[in-house]
Amino acid sequence: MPIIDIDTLCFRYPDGTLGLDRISLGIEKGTLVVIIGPNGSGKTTLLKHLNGLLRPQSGTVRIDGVTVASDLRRARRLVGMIFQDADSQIVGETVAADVAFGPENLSLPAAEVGARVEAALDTVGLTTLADQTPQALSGGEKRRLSIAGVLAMHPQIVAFDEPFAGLDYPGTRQVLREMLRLQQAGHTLVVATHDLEKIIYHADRLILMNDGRVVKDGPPAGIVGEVESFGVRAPCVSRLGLEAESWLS
Amino acid sequence: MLMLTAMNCEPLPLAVMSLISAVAARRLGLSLRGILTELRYFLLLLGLIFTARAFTTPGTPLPDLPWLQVSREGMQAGAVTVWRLFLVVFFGLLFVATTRAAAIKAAVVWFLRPFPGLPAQRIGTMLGLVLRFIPLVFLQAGATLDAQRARGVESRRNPFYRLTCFAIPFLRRLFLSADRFTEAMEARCYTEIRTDPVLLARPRDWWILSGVTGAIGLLWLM
Repeated sequence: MPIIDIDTLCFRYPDGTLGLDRISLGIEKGTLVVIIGPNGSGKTTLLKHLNGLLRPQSGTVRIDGVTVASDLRRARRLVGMIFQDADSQIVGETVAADVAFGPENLSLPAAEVGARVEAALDTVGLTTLADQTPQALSGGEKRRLSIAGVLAMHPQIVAFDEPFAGLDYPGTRQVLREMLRLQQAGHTLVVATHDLEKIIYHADRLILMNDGRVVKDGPPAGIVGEVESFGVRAPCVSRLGLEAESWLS
Repeated sequence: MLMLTAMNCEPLPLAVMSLISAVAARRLGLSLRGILTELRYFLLLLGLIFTARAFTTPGTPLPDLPWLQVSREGMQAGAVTVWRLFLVVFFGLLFVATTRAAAIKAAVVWFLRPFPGLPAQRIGTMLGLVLRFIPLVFLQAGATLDAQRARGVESRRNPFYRLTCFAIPFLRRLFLSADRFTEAMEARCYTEIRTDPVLLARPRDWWILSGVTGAIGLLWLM
């Protein structure tokens, strides 16, 4: 059974704009799925349905067999969301306080909160910055802090919305390294981006969206040649007819 | 307590309190220059208060400057008032520099909890968010101003036009940020029934509280 099961999902914004149009897909546990598409194609709208930030007008989203609508808290615990703008995701006055925000919302005992914060900061390599103010962090560190904040809630799925936006080369590599570490630890990753270059090498599956619909879905090698006709720039390597290469190599 | 005491103190106790707070600021590593820069607008206000008191308090005119309508008593009263106000704000700075927002929030929740009908938890959270948001608001205001300056807004003399140019994008950005912030909190299961930061009082805190209470008692006696 797929860990994410979406069935004929439809969503329209209050102003009438079509967000999602009959989306049906299943995502297997432990995979790294990349959702690509131009701006306004519905990538973020789809991600926001995974943990109930948006509710479908029709259709269902199931996380590990249970519909999101029937247990929002469970969905939000199981699906961690890393937003594009890391600054507006940071709630705490220190790095450690920010990571503690999620576990505190789960009403966990203070000792358990502390243990989770320590473990999450250790995983993303921010332990030495625990008492720093988040505003003092670099772009890559802020993104890693967002990841730690989500990890402390022990999610099974981590959804990334444009994870490389605004990051320099070292920042991109830091975030990419964390993403792969999460996948190796058994998490399912769903990454929405229009920047295919940085992630294609590691993707297990590519989903191409346009105008709120899934227009292509399959292994990256079979789809990457067609993305430009849908307003997404193909990676340089595929334009040059070369093999994809990891940004970490 | 300290602030209330400072507002009623005479010069000698004020001097004692100033000395203690200066030592505390030094131990905290706060630079006088940085503090004065932060408080520059407040210092301007203090200057105005001093001038107003000096000109409006009746008393003996200054012998060297008989043409100036300033009284010696007015200058003394103005100086003491300004000193008290500065000390109050300085105490506030010391408090903020030594206390985490989470501790302030925990204290507010603890203090408000016995009052029926007051949503202590919500008020505490709101306070924490306000403290968290203030630097962001300044950052956004700075970024909007820079963008306007880069497009020559300073050459427009009409202040209402400039204010409108600034306010619309600034508020729009601010509301968008608030929306994103709310969404991020929701995504991390935000609820009012949550594990609160523990309100801690270590032995050192009790010692300091006793010391300060004793000192205040002495100052009132003086």
